[in-house]
Amino acid sequence: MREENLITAKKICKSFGPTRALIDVDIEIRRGEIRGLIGENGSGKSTFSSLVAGLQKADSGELYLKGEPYSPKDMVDAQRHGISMIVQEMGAIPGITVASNIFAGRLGEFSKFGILDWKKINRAADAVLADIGAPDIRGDMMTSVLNFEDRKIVEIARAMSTGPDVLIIDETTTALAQKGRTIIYNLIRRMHEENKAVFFISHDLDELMEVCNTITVLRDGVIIDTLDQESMSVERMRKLMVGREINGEYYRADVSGSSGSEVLLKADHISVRPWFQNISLEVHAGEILGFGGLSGSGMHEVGRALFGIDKVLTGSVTLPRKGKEITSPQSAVKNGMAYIPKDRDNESIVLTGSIANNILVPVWDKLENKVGFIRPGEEESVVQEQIGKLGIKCRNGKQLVKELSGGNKQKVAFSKWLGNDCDVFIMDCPTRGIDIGVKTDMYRLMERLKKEGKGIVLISEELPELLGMSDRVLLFKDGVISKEFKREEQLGEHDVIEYII
Amino acid sequence: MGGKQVSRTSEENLLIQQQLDKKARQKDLVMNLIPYAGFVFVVTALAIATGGNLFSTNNLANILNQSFVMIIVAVGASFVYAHGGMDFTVGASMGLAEFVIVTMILANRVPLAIALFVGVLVPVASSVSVACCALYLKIPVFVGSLGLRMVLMGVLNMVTTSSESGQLNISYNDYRFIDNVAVKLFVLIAIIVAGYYLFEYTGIGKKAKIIGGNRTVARESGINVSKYVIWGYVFLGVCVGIAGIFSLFRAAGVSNTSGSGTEFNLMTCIALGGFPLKGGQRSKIINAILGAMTVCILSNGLLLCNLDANIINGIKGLLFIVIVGLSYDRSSGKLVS
Repeated sequence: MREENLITAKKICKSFGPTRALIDVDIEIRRGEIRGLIGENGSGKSTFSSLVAGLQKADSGELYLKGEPYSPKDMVDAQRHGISMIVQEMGAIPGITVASNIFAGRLGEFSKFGILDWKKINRAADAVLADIGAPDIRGDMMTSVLNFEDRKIVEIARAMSTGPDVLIIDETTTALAQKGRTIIYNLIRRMHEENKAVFFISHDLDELMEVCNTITVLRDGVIIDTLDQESMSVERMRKLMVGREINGEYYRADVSGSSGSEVLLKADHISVRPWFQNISLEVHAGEILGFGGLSGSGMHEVGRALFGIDKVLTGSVTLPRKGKEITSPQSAVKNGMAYIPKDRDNESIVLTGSIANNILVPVWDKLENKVGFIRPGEEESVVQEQIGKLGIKCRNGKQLVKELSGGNKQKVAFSKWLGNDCDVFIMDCPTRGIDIGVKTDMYRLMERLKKEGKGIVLISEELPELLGMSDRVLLFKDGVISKEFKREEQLGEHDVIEYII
Repeated sequence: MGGKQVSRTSEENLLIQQQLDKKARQKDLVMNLIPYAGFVFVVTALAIATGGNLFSTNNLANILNQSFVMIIVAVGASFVYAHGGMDFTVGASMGLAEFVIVTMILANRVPLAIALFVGVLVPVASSVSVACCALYLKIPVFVGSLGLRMVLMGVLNMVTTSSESGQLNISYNDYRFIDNVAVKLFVLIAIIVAGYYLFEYTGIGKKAKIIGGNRTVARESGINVSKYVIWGYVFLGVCVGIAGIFSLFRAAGVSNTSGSGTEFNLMTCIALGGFPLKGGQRSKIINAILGAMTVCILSNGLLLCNLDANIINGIKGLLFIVIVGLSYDRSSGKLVS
């Protein structure tokens, strides 16, 4: 192996407004290296890879490519230098052909006297697709006829079409099933054999162990450690990412379900077309009731109906303790219900608002005096109490929510209800997209609420979380409850899966 | 490979963080100061261009009269723009309010106070109609209010031109006690104080800003969105009505051009004052007031420079585009919903 560095980064710094994403990052990537980059959300791993791929510019520090100073103007310039990136979210453009997607921005290379040679383009696209192991996709197909996974493969083809020396894969595999994963793993192996390099970003620590030969851990924009193959282990990575020991009790420690006898929330034969029909359920005091199922199973929509967001076609949702029926989110909030939506950034918090105003939204009605006056001092004490209780990392309550990391945003979403003294919580995927550290905080919070006698509906797409936290699990399939399980030690994912697929 | 030491001490890192925070605060401060700087610039430039005539006693009274109406409307409009709404009917509804009051005065059957009260109800009804079109018929507020504006303009034109002279007049001297600097200043301060209180210290203003920030979040947090949207339009309607009363007694009559153009002047005020056109948390009533003063002084000063009124409108229009172009945050969606 030649000891030549493909990429050298020296003292790279980057900040977004007051948030420091990268602080003095030094990295050397050698030929043949498959480098994993890990870290919690907001640790800077995506920022670093986007600097290398030309999506952003560093504030200070130097990048070298094969020993030469390197500062890509944009993504196409980076590709010309031999650096390609497959990103997490961006998709292939559906309205054009596969070949146009693969050679987007570079079609000019195929023109003769200003006329594009489409036969040549399609042939070239076919060759690239065959080369990465997807000969069933052809260049002249319309991208819109392909399914989600195949579109992702088209993106991989676009990244590979320039024959890059460095391939950056940013959390792509989470979106892929077996076929796409096989393609990516084969490409990674080939890059290694050809003495090229790969940057691999993933949350899946087991996958990283398998694929990478070096792993760099980032935390708060600083490189914490770089592990080689001998020193890698999942526990070690987890500890380095979070910065403290994560003890074994990730979910709840107790193995038997428990709950009070009082019914806090009751749904009686409710239906919402076209999502679910004739659902009846009861949530008890001190109970975590889990909803499991696929995203089209109706479980998310049941959660919305319980909170009064979607009107029920039949039946009713009631709070027996208060003798009230829930018909709208207003009546739900007024009677002590809380809802944490799945789509945090669009439904749960006002991104352009301050932490304080987000926390106060449901609380204002209670702070009003007779003439509607809301005392700033009382507002401030509610906000301070919640920031302290949940440990929201921020400068002060005036900081805008959009500047916070995913986990801290979710804490804000929780705190607005905790400040409102709720007794029934509907949580739709409350730990989606947040990192391990905050996740455990959320689980402990749920346990605390349970101990305080609150009723919790936990809607989750992650089976381990569902089984690990719930006292009772309702499984949804095609809009009906297909099975109910009580919490017990032997219950495993394989017992559950047949009732949801 | 193996472990790697961070090359800076924690004190140095703290210092860097403090510097970045300071820079962010400074940027925020500059953004907040730009509308004030614009105001100072407009005043200074026009003072020079008019050779100081801008500040003559006579002209200051003019400026007060002109900005008086605009400030009141802008205070009311803050509640609507804060939740992301708008209203193009305010000019026509102001004219109609004036017409209703004049007709009742000329009929001489009801006390003045009742005539004024009924007059104020006209723009309230018109603005609430705009709200209802948006809330219940689900028509984009831009389209709905533009359509209603055309209807009201037509009605105003029809009723005012039915008389031979094309306008209805009342005696200026009989109502001189209303067109009076002391009364106006009192009303102006009362409305600003009331508006500021409602906007910054009650649920009406606070929730309007949340609705402007994200309507879905507002709804799913238990805010009765329709109620607070309608409240905003009611407050705007009341302000437009009050503004109409004072412009009526100043002009001592109503014609088909009464109130015309107020809706577009209002948008310019909102933009020039630095009030976000889409609403949300950055909405501040002081910016609407500042914008109203800037626009009024600009119109007045350019007129003093002997510029044609059409050219002045052109200048305001171009300024509107430039300001929106500079200040509008394109990253977060459409300007007109």
